[in-house]
Amino acid sequence: MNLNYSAILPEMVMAGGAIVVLMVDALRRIENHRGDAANRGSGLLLTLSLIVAAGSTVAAFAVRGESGLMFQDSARSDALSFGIRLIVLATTILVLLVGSRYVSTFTRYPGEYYSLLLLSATGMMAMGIASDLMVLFIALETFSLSLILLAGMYRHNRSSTEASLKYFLLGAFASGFFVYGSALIYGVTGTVLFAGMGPALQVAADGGPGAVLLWAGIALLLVGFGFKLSLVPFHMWTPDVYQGAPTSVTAFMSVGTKTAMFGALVRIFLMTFPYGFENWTGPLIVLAVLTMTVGNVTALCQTSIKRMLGYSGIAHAGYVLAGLVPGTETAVNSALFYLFAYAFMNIGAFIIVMAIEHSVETDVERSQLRGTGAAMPVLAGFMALFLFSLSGIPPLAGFFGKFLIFRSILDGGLAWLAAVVVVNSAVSAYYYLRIVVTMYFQQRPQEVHAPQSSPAMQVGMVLAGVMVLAIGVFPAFFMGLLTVPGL
Amino acid sequence: MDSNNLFLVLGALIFVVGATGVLLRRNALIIFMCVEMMLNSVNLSLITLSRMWGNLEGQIFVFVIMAVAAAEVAIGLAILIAHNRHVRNINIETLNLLRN
Repeated sequence: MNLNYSAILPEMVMAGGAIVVLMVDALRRIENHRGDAANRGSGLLLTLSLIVAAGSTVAAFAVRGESGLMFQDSARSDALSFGIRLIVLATTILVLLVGSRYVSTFTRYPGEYYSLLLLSATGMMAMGIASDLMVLFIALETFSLSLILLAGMYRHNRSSTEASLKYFLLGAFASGFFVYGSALIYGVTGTVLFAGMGPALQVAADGGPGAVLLWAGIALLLVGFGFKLSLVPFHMWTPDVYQGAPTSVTAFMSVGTKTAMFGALVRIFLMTFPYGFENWTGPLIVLAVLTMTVGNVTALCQTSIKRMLGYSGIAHAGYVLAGLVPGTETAVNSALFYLFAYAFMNIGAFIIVMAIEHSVETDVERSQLRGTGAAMPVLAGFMALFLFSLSGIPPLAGFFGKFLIFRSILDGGLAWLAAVVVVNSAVSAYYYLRIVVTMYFQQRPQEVHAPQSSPAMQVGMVLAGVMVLAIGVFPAFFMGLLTVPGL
Repeated sequence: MDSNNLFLVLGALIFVVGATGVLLRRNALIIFMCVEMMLNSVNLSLITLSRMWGNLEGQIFVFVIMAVAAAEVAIGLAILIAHNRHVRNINIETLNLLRN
């Protein structure tokens, strides 16, 4: 019995916080049951959620030293789980900072929004500690189901419910594959614990009994991962869901889902199934190349900024997957660093989209950005910063992320794959910089409404901007923070 | 072939039928039922594998899957109703607002 509760303190704080937020919301609604007061006190909920997320971050640092297996080997706390927690918490805090005024534009139930956001983050963090097929499945569903509800939070908007339904149908389909893959792996090894799988996996990977079942199980797991990570050819839902969901939710899921799924991918494929991993580099390379290329090429012809960021998010998943292909310690570290950098630059870009969009539309066309450089210099300046970082221009965060991935691929001896990454980066620079051109060098149309950024949103924007610069200027510090020693 | 293998084959067949249904059917509710069929075929496989290995982990996994499936039903039906309020139709052809 090793019930090491202190090691999962960050998750417990988040889950408990989600319940407290829900209760406070219920009390708040009893207090002011008149319809016009629906949003009174929602600032309190926001503050509470921020305190919970900050508390969880403090807890994550406090229990950083706790490492090893716990809860009858079904969970593992180590440097990888710390990295996942850190990225997910940074994402959560940035998305919370969007503020209660933005949330009130799409839902009358802010309490449910905040608690679902915290619950979803709990699931994502749990993906990093899961060391058992069952825990992994529960964590996966905890964050997926919360995200599905969040995507449909703008109930009176048809796009939002449509996004939610699409996400739900495909997500449930993907879960089916994931769980069938888990069942087959249980069939081969006779255990759901990653720690106990080693010997049986070794036998099966060497072509012993169960080899077919093992490969079938891993292939099915990969399909499940492919859907959730929006790898091509399982990506069709991504742009639609990103476009239809409320923008704060899009920002949260674009980074959070990727982080959680990559954490689990590393945990399963590099730490648990290292036997015969070289058999899987082929399919992984194909997936990575397809994902980057299709994502970038499709992003070129998008006029909606949210769709464009959706397709470019697919491409970024491709870069991270390509960085993981060598399967080494460097590979894992570079992927984690990239995701950390991606969290700040991508959510930063989404915060600007939220400041500019009309409340009823929850989407921004590229033409709406014309002339913003002169009209809203601060917003446009930050947007340019995030876009430069996303396209990988030094000395910003995105550049070092790409550089590390590039180095990890080269260390793995895959020069041509590194070349594909570079070409793809160049393609992506075209559509990112085109937005900058639109902002600064095109005439402003007559009727442009003022941006609706709240003070909280400005804090979030500045925080993301400062972090994008800091990660770019002091990469060594953040690399030290996110290093996973050994596999 | 002993009965365990027959159950595993049956599970695989039901899974394939469910997955095919998801891809071919056009009614969101039927698609949803096909997904449930996929999950239940996994349950059947897990119970069989659990009997073959002589341990209980597979059976506990089945309970976990059933609990998650129940949560999924609640959420899925709620979203279906929300969509139905907009278009009065649950055919997935009506999911056409968001596209390239």
